[in-house]
Amino acid sequence: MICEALELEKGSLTMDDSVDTIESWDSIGHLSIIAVLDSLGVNTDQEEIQKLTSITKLVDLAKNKGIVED
Amino acid sequence: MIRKATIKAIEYYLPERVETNEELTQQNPDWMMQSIYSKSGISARHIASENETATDLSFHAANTLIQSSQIDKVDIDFLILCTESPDYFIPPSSCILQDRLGLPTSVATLDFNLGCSGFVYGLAIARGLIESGIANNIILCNSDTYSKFINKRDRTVKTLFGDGATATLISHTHEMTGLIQEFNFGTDGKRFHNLIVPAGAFRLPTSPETMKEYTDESGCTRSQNNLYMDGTSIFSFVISTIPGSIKSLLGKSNLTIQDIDWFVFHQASKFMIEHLVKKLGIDSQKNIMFLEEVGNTVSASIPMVLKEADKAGTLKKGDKVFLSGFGVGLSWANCILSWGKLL
Repeated sequence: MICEALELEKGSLTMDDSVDTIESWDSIGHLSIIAVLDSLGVNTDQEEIQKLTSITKLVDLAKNKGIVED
Repeated sequence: MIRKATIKAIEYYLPERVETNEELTQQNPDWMMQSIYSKSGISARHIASENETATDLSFHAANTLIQSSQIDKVDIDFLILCTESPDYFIPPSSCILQDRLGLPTSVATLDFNLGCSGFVYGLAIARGLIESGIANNIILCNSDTYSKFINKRDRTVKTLFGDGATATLISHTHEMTGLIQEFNFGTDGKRFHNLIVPAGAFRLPTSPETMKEYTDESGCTRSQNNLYMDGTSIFSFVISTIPGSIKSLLGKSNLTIQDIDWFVFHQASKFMIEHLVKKLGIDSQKNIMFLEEVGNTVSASIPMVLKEADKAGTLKKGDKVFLSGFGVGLSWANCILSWGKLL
């Protein structure tokens, strides 16, 4: 879903990817990610949003919110 | 006899100069305007000229309204101007507008400072004045010139906001259709800094320091005298707060999403509106938009949609219309209308 949000080929993202490695992960891409999280029932506050700058951090958030398993 | 309030007429005015996405691409080749357009849904904005203020835009809209509705000026007893870009700090711009429109000196005028929630708040004020018997015919103007706050090198806001004004005639009626019905509101002042012009008023007066431009990590340039918007925070606020507030008003009115014929959201961006529509389970056919060629016109956006939809024959007498305005403040307001067909 994150690949789709960032208009990337499915499965192309790795745990090493971040705003620094993905060109489409700009402010517009970030909006798409927030929308994806929202559609999964994940509410993020302003502080959390600012910190979601890598795939690792996204996965950690998803685990904390119970969206994915460890 | 019970007094009720109805929207009788709406007119709008857009400045002559149109700024297209192509123009912005030529000026800023690195802005990826196609990508921005795919999210915003905005291809052009109208921009006020250097000497053209929000009061000027309101004048044109209200003048057209008076002519098209054929209301006698002596019958207008209240003029309300919602703007965040007044002519002066003092006096209120609505006073100046009274004189320019040639309204009688017996008319009441007031300015109020709200942005994207401003039309719905204005309807609430008007309804209260009419149902209490204080006023019979109210002109509500919603007008802003955000372009004058925006730094031309700030991609986050330059690509979104357009200037424009609407004038809405709200009158008393004894009929039971075509009414302004229920409202709910909300405010979160803790997040005021997410959409702000930091300097220029009294908390932080203009100075050489506030006029210094800086470029942020996304490459957008502005000074503290310019409009700043944290887009991701605003988006997050809207999608987390507004659906609940909409459901709350529907519940208060004993209605469901399916009972509403049309939804008109503040025209912030196509992406935001479409996400709200999907999240609320609204039939996308019931979502009316008017954004592409005018941009985000702040509190004028909702009444522009209503005018265009009525003109197109989309809105029919008796239709239940849900309005939702949200944004700067942070402030939000929803209301339900029973549509009465405009003059």
